[in-house]
Amino acid sequence: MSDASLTDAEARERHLIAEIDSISNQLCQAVDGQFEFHVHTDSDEIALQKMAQLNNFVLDSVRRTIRDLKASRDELESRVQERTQRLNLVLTATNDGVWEWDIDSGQLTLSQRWSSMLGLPHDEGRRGLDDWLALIHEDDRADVQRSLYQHLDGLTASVTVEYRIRDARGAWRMVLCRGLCQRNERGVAIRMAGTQTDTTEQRLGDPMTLLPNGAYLELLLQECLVRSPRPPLALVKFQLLNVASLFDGIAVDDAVGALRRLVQRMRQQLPPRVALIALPEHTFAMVFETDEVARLDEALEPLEALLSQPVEIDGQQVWLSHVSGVAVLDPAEPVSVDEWRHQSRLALANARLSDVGSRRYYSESLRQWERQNSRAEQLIRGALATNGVRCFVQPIVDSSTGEVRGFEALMRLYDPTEGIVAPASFIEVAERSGLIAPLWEMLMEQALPLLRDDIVRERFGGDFLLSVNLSTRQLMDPRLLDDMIAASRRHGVPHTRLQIEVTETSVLSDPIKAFHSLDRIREAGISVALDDFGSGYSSLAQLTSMPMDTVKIDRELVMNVTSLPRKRHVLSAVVALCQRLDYGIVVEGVEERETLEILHDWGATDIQGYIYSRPLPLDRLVQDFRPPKPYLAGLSSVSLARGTSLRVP
Amino acid sequence: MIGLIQRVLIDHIETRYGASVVDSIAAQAGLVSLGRRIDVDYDDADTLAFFAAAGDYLQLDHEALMALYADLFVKWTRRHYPMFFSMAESAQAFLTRQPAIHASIGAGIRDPELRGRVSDKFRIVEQAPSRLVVAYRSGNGLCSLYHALFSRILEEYAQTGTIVETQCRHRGDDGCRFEMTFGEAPAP
Repeated sequence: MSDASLTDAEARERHLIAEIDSISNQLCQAVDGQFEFHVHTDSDEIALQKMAQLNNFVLDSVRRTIRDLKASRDELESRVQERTQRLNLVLTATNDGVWEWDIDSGQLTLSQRWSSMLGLPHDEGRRGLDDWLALIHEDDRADVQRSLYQHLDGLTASVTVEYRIRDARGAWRMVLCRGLCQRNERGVAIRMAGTQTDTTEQRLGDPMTLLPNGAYLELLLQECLVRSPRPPLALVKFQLLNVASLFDGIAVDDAVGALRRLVQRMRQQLPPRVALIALPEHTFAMVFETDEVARLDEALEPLEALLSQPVEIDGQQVWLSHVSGVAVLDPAEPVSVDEWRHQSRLALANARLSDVGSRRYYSESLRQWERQNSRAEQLIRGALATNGVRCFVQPIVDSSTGEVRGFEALMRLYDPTEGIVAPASFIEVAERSGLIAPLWEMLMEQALPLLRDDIVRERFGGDFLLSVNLSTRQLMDPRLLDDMIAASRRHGVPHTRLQIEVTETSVLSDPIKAFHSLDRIREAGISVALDDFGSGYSSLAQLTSMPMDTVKIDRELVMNVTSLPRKRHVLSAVVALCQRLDYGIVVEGVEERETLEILHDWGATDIQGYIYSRPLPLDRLVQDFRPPKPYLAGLSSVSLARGTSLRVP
Repeated sequence: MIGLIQRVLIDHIETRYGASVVDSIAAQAGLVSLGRRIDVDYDDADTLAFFAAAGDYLQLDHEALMALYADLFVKWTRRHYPMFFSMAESAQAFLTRQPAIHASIGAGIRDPELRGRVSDKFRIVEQAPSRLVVAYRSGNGLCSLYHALFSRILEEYAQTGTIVETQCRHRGDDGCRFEMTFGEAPAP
């Protein structure tokens, strides 16, 4: 049908259909998700214009909505980006790694820092939880798993667990893991994420020396023992005995700085692959791959040579003493880390009892020695628990007058099976363990009443001194003087009737501190006696500088003095020196009249020894000991007290 | 100005007075051709000139012309856009939707900037039960038309109400602001 033959209605209908089709076709552009077009009609029909117009309105609304959504998305992205940047800044600043565990897939996503912290390649970090756990030290793995699952199960508010993890070099690092679960509206965990902080330096480093610490040693020893085949190994413990000297009168920062420089120099003296590990009490550990003493000597020689030189601090030169203990492992013999460490500890403890510079190797005999120590400690603790301290006294007699100048209070312990036990069996352990203090307090509680006992006063007068021994630890205790005065006051006796006896060894462990303590004691009116002078390596230098009143000459210098002329000369010289220096003299260990005569001739009249009395139980003193008659030259014998026949168990 | 505005007036004059009167008024307004499309934006000055010439022809002052036009507009739109009326159950509901309706009519304009200007002419500032505040911003300054439409819409919904123009472009303000209140709408 031609256009000319159409009626107006038909033509209008055809026009309307064509225009509607045109509008529809234009709308087809929206299938591409594109709305940046305009619907147009050339028709004069208002309905069609309205259709085009409203379509345009819808399109415009769509465009506005998309624009608004895009603006919102851009803003959100911008916020996320900003927050991410902030979080990254924080994480970079804290140097933490980030982990994320997708609960459903079991996949673990790790950040680049997490991997680099362990020196591992960053393979976009996706792996399973087991891959992570496999890197964790087997002793810590269960704790980590427990911590994760407890939080997953809702038992804990967060994950906080510290553990050891193996790095790419095969070494252990200490890390702190923190994490939190994200849960859906039903509380079901969707993912867990958190951080991993490298705490190696804090946990495996010693803050004072900046060296590796005991936890590091533990790991190192474990590693050594699992090697197969196991090489010969030696654990050396090296202790500086008088590091406290570094700190005397010096600002703490300066002393710490000096110590750090010293340990760094010590480290440089060791082979590069041998770590110097700081342990408590200025002890250092090293592990060498050898079991040959000669090679160990060679390896340690530079270190010992360094310490043979003084350390200079603040213009002062300080000499440091050291001892060392070594536990060598037989490659074929199974041993645990604890046992190995114990062996080295025993060797070091034994070395400490020897001269400075000593080195002791672990052996079975040390184990025996340890058992004895253990027995002694049990004995002491038993005595403390059952009030088993027994005070014995031995008189100090002025041989020229027969007057009692004093009594030395001596400690014995009562053991239900062994009876009375002499100090040789326990005193060393008591001093080392610090148990000497409570033992001493018990001893003083028994001894002080002696000074106000009427019968004792009637028999021996009211002027004699009560002489008590002090350990190194007690001497260095700043409360010592106050404690002695308080104890005297409690018993109603003047503290000026006390005399303390200290050994050179005690004083020399820290002379400055010891001298300060002795000065205070003497200023308070308590006498000070240097005990056991002449035993071991006595130093005449101490006689000129030590604050004291009396020198007690050890029995070692006195024994056989009558038969050995050279020994007599030495004793004579010591007595003369003490007299010239105006010290009181007490000669210990005098058992024979001939010795008494010699000493009397030299003017050394204060005598302590079996010649007058063995140590007596306090409750037998009055009964078993009477003051002797004055020594009279030419008499054939000294009137001995009845107590000399007592046998000391 | 969007062509629908003058189309309403053209249709009325053409129907009542004939096509020649339309041409005459257009000539009086100095217009060579008169646009009749409802979805095209015509020059504001041309439209306003046509309105002024129509007022002269009809011997109506501006206020009376606006009242007439409001009535014509409501009738015209009710015929061609009945849905807008059925969607609104009250005068307030209609006028609340008015800025969006205005934007929909202006959506046919191709130029995005121009289109944006049209759609942003009216803005709801505040709405509460029985209260509506609308801002109007246009260089045409047809606030009198809004007054007339307000009254006509109230009538359409058989409601009462008040309108106060608290700001007016003709008084030197940046734009106009209408604060309207509405009485109860009768039950449908």
